[in-house]
Amino acid sequence: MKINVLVSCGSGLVTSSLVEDSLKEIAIKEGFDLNFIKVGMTGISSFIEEADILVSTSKYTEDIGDKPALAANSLLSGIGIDEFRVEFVNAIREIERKKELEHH
Amino acid sequence: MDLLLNIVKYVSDELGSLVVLPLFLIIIGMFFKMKFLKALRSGLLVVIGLQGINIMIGFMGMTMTPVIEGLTEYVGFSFQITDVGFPTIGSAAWSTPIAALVIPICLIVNGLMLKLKLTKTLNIDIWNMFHFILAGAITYVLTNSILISLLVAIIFCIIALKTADWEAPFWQKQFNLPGTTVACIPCIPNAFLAYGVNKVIDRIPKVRDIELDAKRTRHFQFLSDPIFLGLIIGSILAAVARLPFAAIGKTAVSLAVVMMLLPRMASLMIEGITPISQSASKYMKERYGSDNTINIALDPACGVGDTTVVAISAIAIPIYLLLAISLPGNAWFPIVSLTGLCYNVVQSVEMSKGNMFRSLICFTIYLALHCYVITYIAPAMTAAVNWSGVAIPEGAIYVAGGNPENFLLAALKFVLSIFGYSVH
Repeated sequence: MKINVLVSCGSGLVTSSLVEDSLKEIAIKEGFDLNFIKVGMTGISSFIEEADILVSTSKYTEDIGDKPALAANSLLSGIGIDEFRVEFVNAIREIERKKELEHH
Repeated sequence: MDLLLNIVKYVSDELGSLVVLPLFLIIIGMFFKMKFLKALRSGLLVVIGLQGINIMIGFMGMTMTPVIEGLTEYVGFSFQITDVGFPTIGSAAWSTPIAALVIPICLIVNGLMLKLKLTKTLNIDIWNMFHFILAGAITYVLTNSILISLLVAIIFCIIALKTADWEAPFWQKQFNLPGTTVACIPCIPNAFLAYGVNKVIDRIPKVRDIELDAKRTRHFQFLSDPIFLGLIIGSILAAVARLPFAAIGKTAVSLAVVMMLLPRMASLMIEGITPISQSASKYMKERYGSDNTINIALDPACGVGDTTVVAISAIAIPIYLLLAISLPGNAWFPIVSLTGLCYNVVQSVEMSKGNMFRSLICFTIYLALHCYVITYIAPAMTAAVNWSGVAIPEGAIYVAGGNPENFLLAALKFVLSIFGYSVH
């Protein structure tokens, strides 16, 4: 089941590419089917509707409803990377579960 | 050393970035233990991105030429500088022949400084090393000396590390990111400016208590979407340039195309650099990262999620355009760079402690200064871009991007001009 991951950084170009690269690796290991949308900070509000989860390089302080939002700076610094991985994997599993329920 | 410089010269003059760039990236990638095929793919992606940028710049030139002509003829605006956007300038820096030397040298300098305990920062923000390359490239086109260029690049690299050391406690507290910092020299000028402006506002009664509500700027946010922005700016410019009705529509849509695709092409290039950057940072982290006192430098993107930053980035767009039109002597008109304003905004907000009114004042002053700084640096910047093999749009005299490091590059150009070096 495809899950849309909104990845954001300043302009949706550089740091989000680094994050996407790392998330792809996790996805391959866990067998997730992820679709990435990369945006700049100001683009989040226009794309959040299509996304199932937000992974941003900095804490995003505006309201995005009940969708999970993760801060991905640990993927860049390597500090707390294991915790992030667990958090991300759990969040994706939860979304998969929800989608499964909606399906039936 | 002489042999090395001669090789670089041959490479820069004879081979050109089309062949050299992928070769250099493959070598760097394999040095950092990438697999050959992955490194090859990265190297080729970078050149594909570069060619994409050139194609889009050609398209942009075609779109903008009649507009620029019309504006000059009917309105008397002389926008000699075409805005190709900061991703394009960054990509151009990466494509200059000097990049092959600057990246490894900066990593070595960082490693040495860590060993000698001269810094506590490990800079693994590889893409952003384009700031050092750009400083080196501008020095090269001004001095024609690879040696001086490398020296300047090293100085920029050291300044970045030292400011990262200094900024670490503020950064860690503000964004709650222990063990990290930001080695971002472009941010320094704006931080000082915003600090000074806030000191002045503190002395003015009543004004110092004003606060605006960020929520009220929400309907400006659609402006941050490059598609709408291109459409709006394209149609306004074409109308003011008195193009025929059909041409106005064409220009509007074409500019939306440019605003969307030009950064996408740069994005392809970045996609190529990303795996190499990941392996380099992994290598550096393995060598030096085990020391707990070391701070890892991140991209400033890790600090741009603040509501006020997002709000100001949007509301500043019309302000920037008005400034560009009304400032006397300004030759710069921001287009593609308008969508990357948030990087410039962070320090205005940080030094204003999140106060929206103050941030807006600081940022407006910053943008006004930036217009003149870009007007001043554009000839040298254009020469550097030319050296990289990135195309200059037809009809444009100069190109530039809204990069915050323009302030430092302008200072560099000024210092070099004292020594008698200027654009030939």
